[in-house]
Amino acid sequence: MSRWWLGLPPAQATITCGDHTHRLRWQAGALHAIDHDDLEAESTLAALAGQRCACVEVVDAWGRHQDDPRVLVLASRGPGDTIATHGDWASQLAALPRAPMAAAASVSPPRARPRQLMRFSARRRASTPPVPRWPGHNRGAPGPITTQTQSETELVALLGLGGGLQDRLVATVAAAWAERYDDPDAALNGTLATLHASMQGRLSAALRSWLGRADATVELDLIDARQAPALTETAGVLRAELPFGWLPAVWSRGLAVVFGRFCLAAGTEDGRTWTLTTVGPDLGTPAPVRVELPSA
Amino acid sequence: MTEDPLPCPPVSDFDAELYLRLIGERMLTDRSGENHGAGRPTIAEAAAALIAVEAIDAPSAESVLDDYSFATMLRNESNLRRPGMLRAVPPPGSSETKLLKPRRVVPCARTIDQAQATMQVRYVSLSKESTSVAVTWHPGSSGPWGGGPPRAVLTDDRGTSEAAPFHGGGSNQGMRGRLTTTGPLAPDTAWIELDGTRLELTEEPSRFAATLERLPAQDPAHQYLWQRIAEPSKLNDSRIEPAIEALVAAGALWAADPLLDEVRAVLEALQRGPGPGVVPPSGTIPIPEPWQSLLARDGVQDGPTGSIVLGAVPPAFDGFSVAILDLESDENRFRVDVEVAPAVGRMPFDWGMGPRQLTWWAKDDRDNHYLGQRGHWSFNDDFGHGVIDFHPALDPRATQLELLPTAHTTRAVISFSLPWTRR
Repeated sequence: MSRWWLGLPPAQATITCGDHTHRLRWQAGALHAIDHDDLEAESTLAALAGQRCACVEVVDAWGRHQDDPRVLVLASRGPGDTIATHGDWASQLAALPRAPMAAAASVSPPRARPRQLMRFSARRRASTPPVPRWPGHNRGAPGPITTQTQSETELVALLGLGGGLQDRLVATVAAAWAERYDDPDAALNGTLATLHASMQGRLSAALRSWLGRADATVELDLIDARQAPALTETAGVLRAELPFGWLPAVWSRGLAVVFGRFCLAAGTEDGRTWTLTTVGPDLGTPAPVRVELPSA
Repeated sequence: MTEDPLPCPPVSDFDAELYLRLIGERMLTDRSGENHGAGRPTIAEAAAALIAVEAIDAPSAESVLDDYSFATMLRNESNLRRPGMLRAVPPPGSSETKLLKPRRVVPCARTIDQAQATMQVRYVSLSKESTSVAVTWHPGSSGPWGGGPPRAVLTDDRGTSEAAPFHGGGSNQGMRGRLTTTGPLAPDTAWIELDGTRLELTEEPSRFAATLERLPAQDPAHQYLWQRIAEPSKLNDSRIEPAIEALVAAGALWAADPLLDEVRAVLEALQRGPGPGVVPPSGTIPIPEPWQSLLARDGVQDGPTGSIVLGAVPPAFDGFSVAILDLESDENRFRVDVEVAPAVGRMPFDWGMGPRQLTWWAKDDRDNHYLGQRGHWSFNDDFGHGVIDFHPALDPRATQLELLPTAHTTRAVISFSLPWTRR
């Protein structure tokens, strides 16, 4: 697994956990509940007492959605595209049926997890009691929670986390799928349209904002990561040739536009010094821009 | 319909899912409001067309719609406070159609004066499952309008009584619907008492013939477009272009297909409504039948006044089962009381594909055609019940009428004589 999180600063949000306000911190590709010394032990004790811990639920939900392509469909396309959900939904996760998988104090960077396993674990949850209503919980009369409702409830909660955690979740999911592009499988093939469209939506928003052309037509050709990226315009149509890795490497790092130039690729050897391949508004020959981050 | 003027291109390896998702992406940042009303948004219109030409299967299209309806909901704080309003919710229950059964339907034209209203009874329908009394209820001008007739009690000649709540719609000028019991009364009862007022059940319904007719084979894209503009829902009158664009993008239709001019001309005429110039002058775009005769009489107010009770339940077709209960005609239109199983219909905020709807055509013995729009409608788990409003007004010279509920491959033909005197 590449260190895809290099250059992404930590992000932090607070949620209501029981009677307390607790911090969730994303750093180096993983989400941590930093106000719990031993999250797993505390979670076990709470469960024995019949209580739920919102921090556990959020960290656990993060793990279940770290390669969920729906995150890319639902989350913001950039500045000006705001999600209306908020952190209160995260607190409500503690009222959901407990997922059968063990809670983790932190979540490893994304790795391929068979889709069947996700379905299976969600189906087992389906026999648990009903949960409080939420915006998506309208699929029929009150009764056992459905797989889809469970998943969507978690997504609403995760996307409502403040402090930049929504952006980090998008980066996490995008990085997971960018890695799979190098080793295609059936899961990737079934997700290509989702990945393509969700990247094109973000690319279009970034290009329109950069060029000040709100109605610009944008087309995206997803290319192999070894090919040279390009941005051209023909007959009024902006055509970008980019690998899917552009999304985690450039867009998620906030590097789409740098010094008034559009960034086609970003590379680093050490995580501090970055070489960005950029084009100007005239869509001329790409030129490198070098950026050095301050030491941590 | 016209002959196919051009052979349509085969559907290519066009990626329908990606096409729909890119529409979804545009919707998310669209600030025009075009896709935020109660009608179906562009993505759903395109999806329905692509399903029709088998460029994508319905579950895959539903999955895309579900993603983007959810994404849209998450962008609107007021939506988040309105659970149950905006998601494409598949109807619960079995996908199997529960067939409607023939039942005893008795004409019963009675007016019952109530304390603060007048109730006009039209017919009584009796089956082994329930009993319905079809009524038009006029609240009095003096009292407050309470929103509809109160629940009634129906009693049969065996002494069995059942409560019968009202299901229907209308305004403070009048409510039209049915008082329906949840349990049955005796189907062969000689009379029904409605809150103590006895209704003798002695009349017989009009004679009719009910058959099925297979539709001629037609290009799928052409058929979809004609069916789309004939749909009985008023929610999406003007949204044919997303379907056309999708069909062209999929390679299922030529962009220069002359049929598109015909479809657009018909749609424009329908939207313009009654009045001069409904039918384009000769030399312009030809409007094919059945639209030509339909538009020719649009706005004419010479319909006969009268009613016919039928109780027709033709055999099921294309997964639909229908019952035609009665027809009322006035100078502007005619209305047909129907039941349709399964209980499908496009609802406000419904993005889903669902089963296709029936289109409701009618044809008389003077080669006039009529098109039905859904009026007030109510559902239960098994079927929908309500009114189909047909326009234009019935030709007063017509002596025979065929009602033609039309599905994908087959239509039912319910034929009967019109009893009123020819003018």
